[in-house]
Amino acid sequence: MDQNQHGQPTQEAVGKNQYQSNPMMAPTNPPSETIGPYVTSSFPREKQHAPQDIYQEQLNNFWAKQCQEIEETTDLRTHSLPYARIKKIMKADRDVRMVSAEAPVLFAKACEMFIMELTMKAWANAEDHRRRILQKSDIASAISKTDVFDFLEDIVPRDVGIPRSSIAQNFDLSMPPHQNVTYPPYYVPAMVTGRPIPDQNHHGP
Amino acid sequence: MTGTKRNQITTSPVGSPTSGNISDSYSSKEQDRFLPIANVSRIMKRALPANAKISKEAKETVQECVSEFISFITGEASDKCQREKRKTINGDDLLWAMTTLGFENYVGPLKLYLNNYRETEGEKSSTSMAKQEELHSPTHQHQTNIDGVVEINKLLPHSVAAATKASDFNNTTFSAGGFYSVGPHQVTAPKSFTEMGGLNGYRESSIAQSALSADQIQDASGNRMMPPNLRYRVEW
Repeated sequence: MDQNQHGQPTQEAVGKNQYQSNPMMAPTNPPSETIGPYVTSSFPREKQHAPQDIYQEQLNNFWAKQCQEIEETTDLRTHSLPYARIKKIMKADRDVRMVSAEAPVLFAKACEMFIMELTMKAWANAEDHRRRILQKSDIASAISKTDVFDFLEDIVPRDVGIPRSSIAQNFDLSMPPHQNVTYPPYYVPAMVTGRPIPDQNHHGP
Repeated sequence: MTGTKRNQITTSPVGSPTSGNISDSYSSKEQDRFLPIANVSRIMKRALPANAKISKEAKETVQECVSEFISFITGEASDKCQREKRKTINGDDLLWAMTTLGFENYVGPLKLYLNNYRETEGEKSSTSMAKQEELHSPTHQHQTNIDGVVEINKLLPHSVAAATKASDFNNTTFSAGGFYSVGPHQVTAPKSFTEMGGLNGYRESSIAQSALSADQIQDASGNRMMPPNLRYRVEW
């Protein structure tokens, strides 16, 4: 599995302080920009490349920012995941016997980065569909578009790749942008009416 | 047509049964199998713009993904330890596993993080966050002396720190740490020379990385990482 980001990203120190929304009509990026592995050319509808280039740049900035953040941190108060729970998950595997004290500490940081990477890629999908509420389908889409996340395919079994994306697109077109998108049926219905599907999701605060 | 559509939605052949099964099997053990959803949610929000919202389903999905990530990396690291006939998974094993499984991007920041942790370990307890906050300015010299005296635990410095601060720990944390930390050393001690050689090579790599940061880190790591071997012993 190839990854675009190799070695130390510190040479790309310039970055945004926080993740920002980007308009669909984005300024042109340098042609030398490399498109990451999450771009799937096999999708039937042609996707705009500009947003993907922007997200790739944001991802590079993310890794550079991570190194910078760690260098600036002089204590471990930034940890935000409980060590005991991490250790318990590690030891759920019967083959795992003993775990050093530093392992859960390292995982706490690794999981932070994992969650943020997965969330950023999922948000890219939500923005592609002009939504501001992150859905499970966005997570599924991010997983299916990223090779390194193959091990997560079983967790979101309803993601069926190309057909799913097409179905989702059809339904998006028939609904106002501010409405929540429910999961469409497995088969494309014979006729798509203009009426929105009843919202079955319960969104948290 | 309307009736047909409703039927299709309500009787989805793919989603409902699977969701039900997953929900039933997971809910009773959720506290043990997943990280707290509040923590996961907070981290997700840090990756999103301020006006973004996150559905509960998305949070729960990421919760499951994180547990899968931990098990995935841990499984690979565990296999490596078994091949090398070691019983304890350490930070370097996890970094190796992440590289092998395609998470190279994570290794750079995590090496910095691990070095940072090992540096602060010499000054603070390594097993308690509350402890770290409580001890605002412990003296490095004090820790070094204690570590130097108890040579038998050089490979597991955190157990020394835990033992010397027993009165400050809650019993569960201390006993658990002590139990798991002392065992490996006793087993490791009589290992063959080849095994010791491998261990040396592994630790030298860590020491080399630490040396890039600061002398203090190098001293601390050198002292702790070196096995009980005359060639590498450092006298204080």
